[in-house]
Amino acid sequence: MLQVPSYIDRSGIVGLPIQYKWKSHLHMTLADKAPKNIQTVIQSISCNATFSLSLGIGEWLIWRLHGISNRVVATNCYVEALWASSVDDRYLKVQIPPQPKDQSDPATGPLYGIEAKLFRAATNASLNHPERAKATAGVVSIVRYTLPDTTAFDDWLKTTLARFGHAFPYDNDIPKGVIVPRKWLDPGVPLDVTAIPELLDRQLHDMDYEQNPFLASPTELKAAGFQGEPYRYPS
Amino acid sequence: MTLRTPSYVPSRIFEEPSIRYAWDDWDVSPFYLSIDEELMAEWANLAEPAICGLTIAISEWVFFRQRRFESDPTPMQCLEAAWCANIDRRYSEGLEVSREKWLGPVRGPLRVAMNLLHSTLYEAYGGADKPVEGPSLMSNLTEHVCGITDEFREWRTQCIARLQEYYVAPPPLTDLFDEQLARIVVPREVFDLQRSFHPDEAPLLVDQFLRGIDFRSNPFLLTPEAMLQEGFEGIPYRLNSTRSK
Repeated sequence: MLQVPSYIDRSGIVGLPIQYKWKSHLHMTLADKAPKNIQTVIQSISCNATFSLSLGIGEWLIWRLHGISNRVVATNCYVEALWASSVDDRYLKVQIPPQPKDQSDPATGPLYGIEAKLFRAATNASLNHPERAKATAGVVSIVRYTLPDTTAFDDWLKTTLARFGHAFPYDNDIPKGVIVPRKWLDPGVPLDVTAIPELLDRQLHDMDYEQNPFLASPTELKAAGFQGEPYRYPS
Repeated sequence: MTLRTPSYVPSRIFEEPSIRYAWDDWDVSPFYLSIDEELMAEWANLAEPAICGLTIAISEWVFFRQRRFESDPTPMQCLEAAWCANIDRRYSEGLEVSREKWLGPVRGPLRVAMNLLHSTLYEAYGGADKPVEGPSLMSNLTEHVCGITDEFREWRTQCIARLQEYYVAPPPLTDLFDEQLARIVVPREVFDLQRSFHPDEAPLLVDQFLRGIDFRSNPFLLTPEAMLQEGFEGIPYRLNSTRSK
């Protein structure tokens, strides 16, 4: 299970009462309104940085609804598995969680919506899809809609986009760039590329595949052709 | 129809009594489909409504050039709807016309112009990229249909200079949520170089333009009822007060 990052905890949004209205499939309408300027900035950062940025953005919704809906636990596990897949996509055992029966519920609906849109954003980033930036910017729209006050999120996003734009610029020759650890979503953590192996190792090692139905077990990973030691980096 | 003949299209262009250019409906690409990267760089830093406005203004040379030969109101309706769509895309569902109904040396270029307006205003909309090819492609078509003239290029150069003065896109990081971008409106009057212009008057000019639109006589435009049903906030065919700040 992912633990709440300190910068989100400090923002005061964790578990705040719901103040928005929701209807079935609203996440699609919101994602369609992806801000153009965010897309422009995201286009200028590497695919791997976009991948991690998407998950970092999506986490604000998980923590915002923390303790409000039972589905939060499943969404948390799913996003943890997506983090693992940023290192190797074979870690992700289930592509996307099953749809809830009632997508109009104001907690379940956005959580399912963010799962679906994070899968799209992560896939688009992995494939360097032409709509890579739009998919990630769409996640921003969903998150902002659910926050009672977007100030802390907006500040974090602006800082993180500026940091990532500087540290992980898009390069046509190496569009993927380095894998960006979850820890680097924290604006207080310096972006030191020599720390990548240690940060990714800790990120994977902290994951408990036995408690997370979206993570592949070492046996399943071996069967899928995974070489080396699962849940370690480098493997 | 509410659009007056623009002062910047020389009268000899729209009074030209004959067609003097080659046209082949089955291979139109040589008449407009080349990209001038150097030229595009002149407006690449502008806000999207300015790039779209420049494309529409250039298209007026084609539309008014052909008016003498074509009584079908569709092109002028399309032009009017394009100006509306540059204020808010929800005024229209699109500006495209089918090839089958728009063939020949008069209707063919009109079709290409209408479809270029559609692609400039609608196909890139919502994505990360600005439709920077729009003014370039429309310029090619205009120069093919109207002839390459110093007047056209000089007018375009001055338009770009005016747009550069007032309509440079805000840096994306300073306007992450498109709030500044959403307030940018580019009235048709910007392209009338005989007239002075200051961006402070843009909201009023755009509001006057919208108020004068007879949406019922233009099939490209949606009625206020239809727009409100689709979730349009504010009053259709008025410039929303939140945008006019």
